[in-house]
Amino acid sequence: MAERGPTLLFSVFFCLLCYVFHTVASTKDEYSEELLIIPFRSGQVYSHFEFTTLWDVDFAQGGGGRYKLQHFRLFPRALGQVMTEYRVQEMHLTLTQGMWQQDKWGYPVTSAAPGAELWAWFQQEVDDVDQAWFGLTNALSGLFCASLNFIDSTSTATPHLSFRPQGLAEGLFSTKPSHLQYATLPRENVCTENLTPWKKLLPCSTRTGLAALFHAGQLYNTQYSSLGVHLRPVCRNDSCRDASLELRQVLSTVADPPATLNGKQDWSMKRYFSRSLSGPCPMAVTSRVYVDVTTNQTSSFTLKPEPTELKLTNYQGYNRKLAVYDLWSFPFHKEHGLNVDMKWKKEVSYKELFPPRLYVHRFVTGYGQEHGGIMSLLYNRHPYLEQQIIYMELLPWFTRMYLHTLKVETTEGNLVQPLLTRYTPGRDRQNPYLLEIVLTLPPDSTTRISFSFERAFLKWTEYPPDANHGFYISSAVLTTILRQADNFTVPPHMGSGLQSGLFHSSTEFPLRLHTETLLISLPTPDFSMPYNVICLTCTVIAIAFGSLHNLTTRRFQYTDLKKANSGGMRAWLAQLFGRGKHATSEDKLREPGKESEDPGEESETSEENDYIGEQRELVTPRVRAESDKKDR
Amino acid sequence: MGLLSDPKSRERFSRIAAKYNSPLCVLAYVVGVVWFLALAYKPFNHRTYFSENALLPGLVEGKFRTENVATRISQAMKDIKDVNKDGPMPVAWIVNQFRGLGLDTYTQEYIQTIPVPSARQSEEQGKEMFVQLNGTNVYAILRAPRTASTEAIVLSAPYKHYLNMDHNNHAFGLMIALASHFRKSSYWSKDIIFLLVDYDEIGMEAWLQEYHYTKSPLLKSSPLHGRSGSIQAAINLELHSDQVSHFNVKLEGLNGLLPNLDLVNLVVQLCGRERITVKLHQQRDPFPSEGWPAFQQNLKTMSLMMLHQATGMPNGLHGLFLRYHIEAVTLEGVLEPGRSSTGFYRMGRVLEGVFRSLNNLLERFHQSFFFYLLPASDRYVSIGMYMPPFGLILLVTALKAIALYISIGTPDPDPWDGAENVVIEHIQSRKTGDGQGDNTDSKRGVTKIRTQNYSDGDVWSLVPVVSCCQVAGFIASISPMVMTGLGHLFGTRPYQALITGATGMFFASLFMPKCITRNRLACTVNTLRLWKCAALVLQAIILAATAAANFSLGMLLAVTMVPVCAMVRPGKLRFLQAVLMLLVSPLGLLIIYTGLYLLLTETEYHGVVPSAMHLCTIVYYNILSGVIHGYVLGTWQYTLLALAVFPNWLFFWCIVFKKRDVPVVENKEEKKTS
Repeated sequence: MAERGPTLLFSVFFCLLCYVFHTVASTKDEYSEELLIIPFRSGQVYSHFEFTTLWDVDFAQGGGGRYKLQHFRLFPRALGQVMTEYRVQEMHLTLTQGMWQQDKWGYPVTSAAPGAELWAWFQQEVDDVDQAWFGLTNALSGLFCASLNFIDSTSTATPHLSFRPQGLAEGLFSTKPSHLQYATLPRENVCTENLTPWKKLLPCSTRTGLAALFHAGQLYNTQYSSLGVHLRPVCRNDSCRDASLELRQVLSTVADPPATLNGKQDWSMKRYFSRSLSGPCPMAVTSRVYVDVTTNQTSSFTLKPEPTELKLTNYQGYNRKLAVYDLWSFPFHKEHGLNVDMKWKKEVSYKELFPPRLYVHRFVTGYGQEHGGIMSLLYNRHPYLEQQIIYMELLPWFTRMYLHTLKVETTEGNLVQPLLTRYTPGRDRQNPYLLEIVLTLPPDSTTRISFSFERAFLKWTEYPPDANHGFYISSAVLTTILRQADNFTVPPHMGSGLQSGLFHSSTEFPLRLHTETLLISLPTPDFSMPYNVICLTCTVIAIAFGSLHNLTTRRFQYTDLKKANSGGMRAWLAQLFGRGKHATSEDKLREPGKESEDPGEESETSEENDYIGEQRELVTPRVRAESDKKDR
Repeated sequence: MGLLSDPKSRERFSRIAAKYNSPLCVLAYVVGVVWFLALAYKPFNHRTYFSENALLPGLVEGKFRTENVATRISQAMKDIKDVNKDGPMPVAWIVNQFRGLGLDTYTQEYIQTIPVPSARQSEEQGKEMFVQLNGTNVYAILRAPRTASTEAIVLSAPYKHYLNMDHNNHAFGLMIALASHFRKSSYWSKDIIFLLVDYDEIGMEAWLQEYHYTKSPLLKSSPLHGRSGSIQAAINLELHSDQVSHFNVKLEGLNGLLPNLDLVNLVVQLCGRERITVKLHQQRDPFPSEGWPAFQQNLKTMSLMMLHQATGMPNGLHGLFLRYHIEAVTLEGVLEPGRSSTGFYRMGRVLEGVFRSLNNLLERFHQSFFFYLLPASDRYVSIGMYMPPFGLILLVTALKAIALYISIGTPDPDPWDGAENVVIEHIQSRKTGDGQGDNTDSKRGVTKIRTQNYSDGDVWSLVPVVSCCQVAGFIASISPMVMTGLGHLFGTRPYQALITGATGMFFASLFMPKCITRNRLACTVNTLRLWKCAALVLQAIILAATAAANFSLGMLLAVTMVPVCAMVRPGKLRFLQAVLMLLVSPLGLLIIYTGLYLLLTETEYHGVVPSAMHLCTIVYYNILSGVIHGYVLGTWQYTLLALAVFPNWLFFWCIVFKKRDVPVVENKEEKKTS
């Protein structure tokens, strides 16, 4: 009997353990990796990696939209813990080097602002959003080795229109508008130190699978490179009764082969990632490489090796041809790895650009260091469709925006009436200026949005070490839903992963575009100036203040000229300047006792002489009284 | 010290200023001028140095090897030029050249209205009052990888040298060669804008205005569809041939602005590395660098620079960038026969070096001098050194004004200047003193007499004369527009009407003293003293302000105007004074300095009459371009001369011709009172 107790206990414990394992196993997660390669007409080659982790978390367990992530399998634990800690419902972080050139390259899969951009929706239960935001930025800063910890209230805003939740936002996940926080760091430099922690979040890291292509030296020797981490709750299935947590990690680069290869656009994995693929990540459900061969209608380039599949898609009359390499079915045993290789027959012939239907260009207007302006040109090149857009501008506090100068007009000079204008004025050293405008762009038009601002004069401690470099203004954001999808790189993510987007036929194409970041110079003092200023001020004070002080506080008295001038340099000098002839003005103030010795004295004291009278004013009353007495 | 607190020393100072006034003035003027000239001498100026460490000039190895592209393209452009002589810019061909390299290429079409037509244009277009210039600029942007197009550097070239109607095809060839070389490199941190400008300055101004969206009503331009970020620096390229013997570096920009000295140093240094001679205003650096001939050479270079700067007109396209706080210089490649020359390879390497250094910049140019004079390409005179001599010259005006102010109140006979006061006033006081004793008077000096019956100058009399002068100035400033309008009515050529307007206004205003006399505006000698005192103070203010904005202009005005204006007095030697005054009038000064410029630059001498004719033509064009540039580019030299210097001069002119008619009145009053 004594032995059965522990056995029973063990069996009960075992059963419990089994149950726990069972529940864990039942929270299913899956991982997919995809790569999309698009050769642009302008000679560049775009490669977009997308790694998606879907995790069927039991959201109801935590109560409300609050989830408690534990027992990590494919989902990165480092990120999950941060999300749990700060009750983040949705989070989007991009770290970008370079600018996406809309007029040359069309639209990216995921648009990103140059520098760092972070926006997050917090769960409804979060009481102190600022505190949570502060914690989140600091945690992410540590996690991605980025200076996200420099995000503070001066760079954070809560846009109401531009950044709607991208995942579920109903029922359990409903949230408040104030729970959105958005911030950018346009000056952030992105490099390998951000890539390394980012790729550690992948289940296979960079040992195998698509992530094996990440060679930092090559990834950052490109025209454009962007890292992104996007977290959102999505529907688990079509009925959408349950929700899953989706983590998208994206990496985009744009290489420029003609610059280095005598004008040819030849591109291969070996040359641009310095290695070829050896196989899929074992954890991945799907592992695919898509090559857009739409431009290869006249077989202007050859694609090697043969793709496992050729797919045609059609979005509203816009055909796209994709060569697909499925890494699970690719015969890696025959070939020595997969090295996607595109070879062109001819050099790139640069033609006039075919910009997409909707794009935007922004720049600083004016010169000088007092005022300035910002102007955006919004191009709607669609011949007959109007386009409704949301334009958002986030200005730092030191560019004080003048709302009354806001002007929206077409280049022909017709005013465009904004449908809605939301403006949050900034406050010095506290809040940025936020402007959101909803407007309808007329068909086939260019609309100008312009306003002017005043450049603030910072405190001298607020200037960065390279003050004359200038200050960055983060890119404006244009949000819209396109109704026609030509030039669209990849349509929206209704589901998860590239695949669903690439082969999904939709009628709405949500689009977000980021404009150029701007560099403005603020009035900057010459920092060697304090020394000069000190010298100058001291001199001025010594001369002017000293004299004035002297004048106002001195007590004038009569002195004996003979005594005072008896010998010495002063007397000699006085002599030299012809003042020693007993006839100087000094004797006006001579000591009264000695007055009679000088014959000229009487006349001086006579009242009719205005001049003397003036001089007497200077004499203090006491002296005046004395002199009067003596006169009598 | 005690100048404020101590009335005695104050009085002493004023007495010295009055008593030794003339010698002090002469001394200050002579010392000022000699000191200033001495600054051109090597021991008195400094060697240039780099303040901006980030430039790291010449630290990288030049890899430019596409000089054959330059030869090919410049030859191709020459062929096009031969086919359509003086035709419009071959825009499509140029666009293809840029686009073929894979650069983002854009064009800008503009229509510039010139309110006052230029000589050449109006000859072609007859009596058309407003000439419109249609032009097309082509520019291409090389986007730097991994940057968000926040900063840019510009390499620009005019399509033609409009002054001598020579095509700039070599510069375009070199530009394309550099573009194809730069395109291959991935180290750029700033975008590079290659800009080919139609119609010289007008085209450049049109492009810059549109780039910064600072619209002037005279310019209509198609919007720029592509831009880069804030432009940090610009190099403008003019090549007269494919082989050059030296680079002539041009610095002077709009309204006398100068590029940061660091940029100039950079260009000079890199030319030195490639062993290309650098000249300033076609003047070689003297060798040996010390001694009398070297000083002469340095002085010549410095004077030429000052003469150029004083005009306020840019002597190259770079000058227009400076207004937008973009540092820029023009490199003019000149082939001097009989000198060793270098080809595109060396030139390309110089420019490559310059651009790579500019690429290194982390901040805008701000470290080095913006105000300087260059006696040689590697020597500079900074603002701290040239301002004291200028101050000394202005001191003449100030001293004179003080002396006159003190002398106000002394009686008439002849004591015009303060210098004679001391003697005169004694006599006066003896005459007028009513029994108080001579001792007193001699002791009181000037101040004593002020209390006597001699009234102070009539301050209100300043109002009509100053306002008359200002009105004359205002009319002079608007006369070009008015006269072209009138000329249009009468069918004269606009540019003739313009010149007639400007000079006519000038000569008409010479009769102003007559009108003023007739109206009996002026009175006693004291009033005249007050007038001159006011005129001097005004002159000092105008000259000081001018020198702060455009030092050379201020200095050149001061050197000539100050001594003459300090000397003038009503009455005596009226004819001589009038001649002197006419010499230092704005028109006279223009003739003098144009003559000086021609003397310094032109080597041939054709005899008196042809030279004089030549001088007149140049002066004529200077006035024309001064006025036109004022409208199109926004130079303010003509406006400054018309609105400030000319009225001030007119004031002095009135003083010269003012009859001292009123002491009679004064005497009457005295009699009455006594």
